[in-house]
Amino acid sequence: MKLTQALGQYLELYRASKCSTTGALARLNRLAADAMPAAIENYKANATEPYETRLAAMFAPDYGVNINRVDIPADIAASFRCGVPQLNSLLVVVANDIFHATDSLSKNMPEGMQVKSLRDDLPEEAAAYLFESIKPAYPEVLANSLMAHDGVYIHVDRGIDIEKPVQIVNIFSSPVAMLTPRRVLIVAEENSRVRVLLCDHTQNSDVQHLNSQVVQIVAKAGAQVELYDIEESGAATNRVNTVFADIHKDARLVLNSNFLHGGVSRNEFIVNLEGDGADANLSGLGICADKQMLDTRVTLRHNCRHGNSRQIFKNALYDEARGFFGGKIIVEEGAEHTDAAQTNRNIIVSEKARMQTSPQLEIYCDEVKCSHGATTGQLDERAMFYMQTRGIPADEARRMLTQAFMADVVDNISFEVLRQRLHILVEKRLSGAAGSCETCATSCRGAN
Amino acid sequence: MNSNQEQNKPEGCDIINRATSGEYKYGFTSEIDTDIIAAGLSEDTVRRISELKGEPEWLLEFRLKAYRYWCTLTPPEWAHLRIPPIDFQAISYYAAPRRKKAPESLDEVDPQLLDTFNRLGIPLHEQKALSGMAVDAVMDSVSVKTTHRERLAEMGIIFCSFSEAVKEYPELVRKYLGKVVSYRDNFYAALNSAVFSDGSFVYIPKGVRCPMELSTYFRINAAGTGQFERTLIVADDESYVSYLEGCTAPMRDENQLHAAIVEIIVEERAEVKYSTVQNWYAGDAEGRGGVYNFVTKRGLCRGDYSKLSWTQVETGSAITWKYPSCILAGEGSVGEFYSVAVTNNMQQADTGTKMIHIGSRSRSTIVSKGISAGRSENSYRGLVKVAPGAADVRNYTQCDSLLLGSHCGAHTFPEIDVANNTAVVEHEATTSKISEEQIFYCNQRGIPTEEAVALIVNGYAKEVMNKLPMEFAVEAQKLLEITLEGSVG
Repeated sequence: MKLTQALGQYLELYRASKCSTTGALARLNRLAADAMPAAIENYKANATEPYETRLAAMFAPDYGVNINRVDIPADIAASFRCGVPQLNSLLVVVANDIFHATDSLSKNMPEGMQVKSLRDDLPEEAAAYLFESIKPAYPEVLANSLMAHDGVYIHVDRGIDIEKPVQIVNIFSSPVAMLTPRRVLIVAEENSRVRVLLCDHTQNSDVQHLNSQVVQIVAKAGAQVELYDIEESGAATNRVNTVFADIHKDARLVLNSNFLHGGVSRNEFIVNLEGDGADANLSGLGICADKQMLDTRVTLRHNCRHGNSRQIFKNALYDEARGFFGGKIIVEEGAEHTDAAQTNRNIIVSEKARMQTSPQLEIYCDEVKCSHGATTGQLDERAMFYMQTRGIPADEARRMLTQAFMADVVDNISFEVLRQRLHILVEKRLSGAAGSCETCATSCRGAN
Repeated sequence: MNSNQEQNKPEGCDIINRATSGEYKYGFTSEIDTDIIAAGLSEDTVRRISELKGEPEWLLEFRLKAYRYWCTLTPPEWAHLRIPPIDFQAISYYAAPRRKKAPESLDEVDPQLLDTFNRLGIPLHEQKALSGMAVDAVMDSVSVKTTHRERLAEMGIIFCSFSEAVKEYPELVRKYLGKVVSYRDNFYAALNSAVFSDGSFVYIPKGVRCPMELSTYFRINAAGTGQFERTLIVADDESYVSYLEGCTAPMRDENQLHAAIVEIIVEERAEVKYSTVQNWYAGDAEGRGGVYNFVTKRGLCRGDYSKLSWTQVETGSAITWKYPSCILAGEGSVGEFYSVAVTNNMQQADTGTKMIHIGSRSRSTIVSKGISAGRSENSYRGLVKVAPGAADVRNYTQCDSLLLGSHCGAHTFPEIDVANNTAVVEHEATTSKISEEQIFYCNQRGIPTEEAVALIVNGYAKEVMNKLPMEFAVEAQKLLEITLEGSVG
């Protein structure tokens, strides 16, 4: 199916229905509708990207959209089984795309911080950031903007350090095939610090679902924003996720994305280092089995002096899983003293798995240090042999080595509780537990 | 700088100064009578080229099929290049040096043509005697002089111009033509297949090791003529050949289009080594003029344990679009790609390789060194593909970029596609500039900055230069220095 048809169906739907949004969201919807036809017209899919994660393929199914804001009941307590039990967090639940503040949020909201629905009155500045996402190069973001009816807005005042992480739990629950447009806007004022954890869960795992998510991050001078993402949705849940991050002078971004279970997942990270001394640390791991597919794309633009960026993405592919990694570092003219490094390492475990990698460098400045490395291979035969000679069965040895392979992504996480939990989740996933979250349901409920 | 200091400068610097201030060394036009077909491309042009060359019916059919297919295509736009629109109807598609009969000895060759080669630094007489190379000199499109034919013929080696091969060995040509690069391959391959003028044909029979390096000098000569070379190399079982291709072109103000095809077929346990030094006119410092070099080069390692090695030094051309590739179909076949690409001023290069692993236990190595200076853009674009059935494949890729100046660009676009769980594929890339410390160290020891840069660059490219045959290595090293002159502020 062509992109015109795939995305056009949602544009038609938008035009045919009465818009239920007001204020900034209504304007966002309208801007997207105006920009969409030209964006579709001019869009060119990358010739090497896999067919399955092309926008035309991902948006092709005739998904329903909850335009009339029917509150589909989601049994939050039953479906939400948090993978990070000891986490003392500010919890937000997004059931489909509807914002639900929890008690833990309203009772514990720290001073200098706001966490609210995008449907609430937004300051002009925040609205302006939303409108900035209307870029013709990203039709998937336009599609999301077109249908965005709700979302999460996080704002941290100047100089405020929020110790407690904000946890956004996305729950999908629908009896019919549905597209859920989700949005998150994080604005961190000067010298503030905030950590956000995003988790994806599915309640009806047999229903086809598309999670269209746009996350925007603005880290002002000296701010630090950390975004962690754990995807543990059903096999029929596909995801098109786009993260925009603007990092200003001496600000720091930590972005960590973990794919443990799901359907076809396409994640694009567009990070701009705008102010001198800006720093970005991107990492991700993917454990894909069955016919799962993980598509990770990074565009990291160095547009400042003394910018620093590190990327590490690792995948293990089992069964008929497929992986794609498209990483691009752009160093603009004048971005002197840039230090950028990117690593992509993959293990192919089974005969039918496939990995495509395209790490790219575009450099327009000479005073730089840039490198990228990509490998695709298997576990070290000698290490396997060594372990077997010590009486460790082959399967066990393989699991341990894969876990060790993933360890440098997990160890990169400075968020203590999450790091420990991810170690366990990865181990569980590798030993074959499909939805590892489900098994820890009991311990979770107590925590919340 | 005062005159006293100038005199004290070491001799090496003089060369650099001369070349920096001088115009393109090989920029001149020989006045040799040429047969030119009027500009424009149509079915009639294709028929006329075929007729002029007295080609058999099947070859005309091949050209026409290619032409008809080309008509349905548009120029590729995916490369990281700014290509001004090319008017394909404004190009003359055939130019042949006029001659009454085939020359029987060097004395009969047009003296002006010989002079051209002399000014290029390739005295045909001397080369014949001294280097022991067989030189199939291609002036524009038709092969003018072929030496050492007899010696090669004794061993059963065929080394002749493409048109000769069509006449004398039609079965061989027909069997292999278009088998590696189909006329449907891409826009420029289709164009070449329709209008190719001449080129070289090499056939190495079973078990023969070619005793000398085969060499062809390509040279674009007539004004406003595109050159559409076609090279076909076939190495039969257990044979070996090393083939050299070197290019220089005279200065032109309008852009010249060069769309060549090189096809190589390597049979069981055979080995082909293909080396190129490309120094076509790159345009002036403002980016006016220069050759457009859009080349499709591909080898098929068909036999088991066959080996194909590409080595290239790219210093010329305004725009380079070139990806010498290996299809590693045979079990245990080996592909290699060593490249140095230098761009200066307004030059643009998008070059790299494709390694397609189909055979089990096939191996490939890619070493690419890009050097950009001035306002140039230099990209590496590569593909390493491992087919599902190819077990135990190994690839190692290293591509480094060196930036000399703050207005140039160095880019890397590798693709790695692995569909087999026994493959090991590695890719590494770095981008950097020459460090202040290195320059300072050289300066301290009395080496001026410009020479120090040349020294460091040569050291950086050494890994690739070492792969070149001796004759080329010297020329290539000189070229590297000359190309980078004036790039250090």
